[in-house]
Amino acid sequence: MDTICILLLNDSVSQPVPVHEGETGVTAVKDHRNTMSDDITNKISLDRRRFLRATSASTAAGLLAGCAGDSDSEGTDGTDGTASSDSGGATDNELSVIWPGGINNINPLGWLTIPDYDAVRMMYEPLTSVDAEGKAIGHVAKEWEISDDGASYTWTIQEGITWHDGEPLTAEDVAFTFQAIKEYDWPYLGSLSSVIAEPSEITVEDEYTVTTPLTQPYAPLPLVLADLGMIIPKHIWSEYDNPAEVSNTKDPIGSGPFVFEEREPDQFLNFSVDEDYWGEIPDFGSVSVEIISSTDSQVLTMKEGSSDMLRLQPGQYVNEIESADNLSVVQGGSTYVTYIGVNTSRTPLSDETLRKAMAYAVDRETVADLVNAGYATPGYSPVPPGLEFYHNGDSNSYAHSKEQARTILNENGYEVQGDGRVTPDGEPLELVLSIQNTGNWPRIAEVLSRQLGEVGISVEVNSMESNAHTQKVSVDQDYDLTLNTWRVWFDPDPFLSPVFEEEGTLNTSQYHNEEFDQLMQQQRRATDPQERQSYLYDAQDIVTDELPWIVLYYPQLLHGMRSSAWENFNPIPRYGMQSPYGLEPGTGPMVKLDPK
Amino acid sequence: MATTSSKKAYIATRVRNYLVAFTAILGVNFAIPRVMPGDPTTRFVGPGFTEEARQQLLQEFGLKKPIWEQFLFYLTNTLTGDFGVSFARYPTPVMDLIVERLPRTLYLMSASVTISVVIGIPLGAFAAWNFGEREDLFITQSSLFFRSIPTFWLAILLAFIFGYVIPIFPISGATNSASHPSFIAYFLDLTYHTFLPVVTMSAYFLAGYTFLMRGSLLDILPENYIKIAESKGLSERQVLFGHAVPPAFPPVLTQLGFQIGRLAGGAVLVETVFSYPGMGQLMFESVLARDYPVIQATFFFLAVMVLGSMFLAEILYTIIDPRIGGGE
Repeated sequence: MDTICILLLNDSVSQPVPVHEGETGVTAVKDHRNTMSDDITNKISLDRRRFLRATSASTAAGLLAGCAGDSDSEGTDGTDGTASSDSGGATDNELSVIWPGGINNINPLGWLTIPDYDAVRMMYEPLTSVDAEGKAIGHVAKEWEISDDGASYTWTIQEGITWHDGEPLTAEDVAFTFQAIKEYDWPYLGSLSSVIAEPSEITVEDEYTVTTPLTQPYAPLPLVLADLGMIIPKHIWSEYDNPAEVSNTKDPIGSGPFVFEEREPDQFLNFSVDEDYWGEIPDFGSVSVEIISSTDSQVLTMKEGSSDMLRLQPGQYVNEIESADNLSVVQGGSTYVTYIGVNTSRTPLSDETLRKAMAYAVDRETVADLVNAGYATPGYSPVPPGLEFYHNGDSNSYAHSKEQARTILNENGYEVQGDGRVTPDGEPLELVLSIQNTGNWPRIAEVLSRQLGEVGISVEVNSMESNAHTQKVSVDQDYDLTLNTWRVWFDPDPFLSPVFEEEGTLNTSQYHNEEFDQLMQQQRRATDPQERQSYLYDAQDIVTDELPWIVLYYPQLLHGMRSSAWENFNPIPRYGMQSPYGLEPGTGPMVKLDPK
Repeated sequence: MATTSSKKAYIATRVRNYLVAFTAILGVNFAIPRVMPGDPTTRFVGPGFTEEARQQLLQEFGLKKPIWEQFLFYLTNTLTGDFGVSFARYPTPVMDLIVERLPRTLYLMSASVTISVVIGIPLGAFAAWNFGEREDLFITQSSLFFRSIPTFWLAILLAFIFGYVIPIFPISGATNSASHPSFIAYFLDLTYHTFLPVVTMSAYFLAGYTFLMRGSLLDILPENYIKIAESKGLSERQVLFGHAVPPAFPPVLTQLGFQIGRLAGGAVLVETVFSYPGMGQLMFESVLARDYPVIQATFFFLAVMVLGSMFLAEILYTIIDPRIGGGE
């Protein structure tokens, strides 16, 4: 009786429990139940989602009541009645994910926030993807050819891809996407748009071939498109007067493995799996995204077992997730970089030797362990190791040494006077570190200030609300030192270029080095990845020598996963578990996940 | 003696005062979000977000226009009830957000207020009647406890107990499904989700009403007419509810009126802890995101509700208590 009830309830979730070969449906469910009762925290919990779906259909409600009564009378296991209807939030058949913010804009090119983009990535497919090394591989484009001058790309489109409405995806759609990127203004596609040639020059060669000329050689293109090149269906988007203004929240049609089902603003977003998807499809039937903005509730929901996946903020609650029996922390490789940003236009920070002394004075290991619970690797280059192929692990390094720091300071005229030091001009050596007052920043700043103080560099911490901080540091550029973490794109160019090139749009360090700028130009023209790698290695050598940023460490991208119910975690850099794509076309961490 | 003309003059003065307050609020409401550091685009700043894109967004949001033009635009829009489009939830119209969230907040808050009034008033009366005894001590102490602990802390505690230790209630969201087969199903779903937030808010409000009723009654119980009522041989219940409670009621009513005006604001902290998509959470998130249109609309709405209910209360006083507005 018990088991039958579960099946009925499962039906009310609309997807039957997958039955493994050689097993009956009943055993499959029983197996599942046994696993669940191992999970202590779940023993007495009641699956809310299913409970409600069941109760809203009055017949199912009756059955549920019947179930509970029945198992009680059996008396074998006191809590069995509720435990059997439990499965946490997600079942074999549904992956339940927590996102921190609501989704208001599912425009594949014009998204504004990370949750928006994550939603886009569930349904739309990028033209390219990345392999384990961090190099570009095909996705919607099976392969591509680069002209000898590096300023024209010819893409061969994968055959057999269909949009969720049944239309085939062809070269027309890809050409239309490139044209739209060029023609309209998109918040995050500015640099991409500036290198694509005029819309009329983008040509469809045949049904599955398209050529995209560029305004200049741009080697980063394939990797940039793995993040930003989401292909949109021409037959839908050509109907809009201005595609940039479409929020696309009603029935979005993509080509990815997940199909839009329903959305309740700021509450949830549900997807089903596209059974006709051209690539590999997951072993579960649907994904439900719950929007939970409060971190406490996020963690409680995970621990309680009603959700399967949560992106963890660096350092926050990681221990809680780690110590829970039913959960595991999954590391996605680091594409983050945490650094001290230096305003190189200010005296005395314009002096490179002072910056070097600081680089030696900070103890990266201590900071990383203290605030990131060990989930961070100390390092020196602004390109994090998650971008394996382009990360220069042998750049200039500054292993913690107070002695070294003191020697440099002494040799360069920063004399000790009283408790502190003075600059060569005789001014007291006092700096202000402007930080955000949220998360771990105050703790990191505290530790750094003490470490720098030990060698005689006095650092006062000025913490402020995050908008005020952005305004002060990034917009007004009125600061000495700051702390920040950036997440790097799949390609290092759109990351390095804005922050270190003279013309860079976010060069808040006001850094300028002609040789660096030149290397950046060269790597853009290099069609051979090896050659490009060597230019980028050299560029990293320069910035790690001159130190517009004093890089501290690379925090891991972490996901909390409900390992009591799921296995086969294959995180990729930059997205961790939150991506249906990566590594090979048609597969990705969200697709490869297996229910236990 | 109150005369009709003096009453009219009294109301006229009130109307004038409220108009002044209303105008001031209109101005402050426009200014406050704009004097906060940063602007609606600051949270997008990152390596992928170019300065051109920022400028273009500012343009799109209408923030590149001269400030007086923005103010005029804001004035006409606000007074005609058009609050524009949210920046943070671009391009959702602000009105859609409010229409969607206001009922949820009103439900949460009115349920909490109702529960706390229904329980708090008899509880306060009971405590006052047993003044100084064990029951009184117990009620006062526990009221003091619930009144003084921060609501968000109680919220987190309840979420921990009933969302994790004995996981029987949801700790986030307002409903499970976008569509419900019937209104009853929707209502049940909503009630289930609001259970913990309502308990949290009720505990806080309840303590307030209990104290208010108890204090108010303690002023009245020593009065001679109560002793007379007692000596007439009336039962305790008759004395308490027939003679003592009614005159102790006005302070409670005042408090209630005041609270009703503020209902639309929801409970920012509790809604945030429970990720409850109501007005409080909307206000909180909008301030963080510098979402000017939503900040303006929600705070304007709240201010109008408070002003309206206070005005109504003042008018009601003149009717209830003839001494008010009676002139010299």
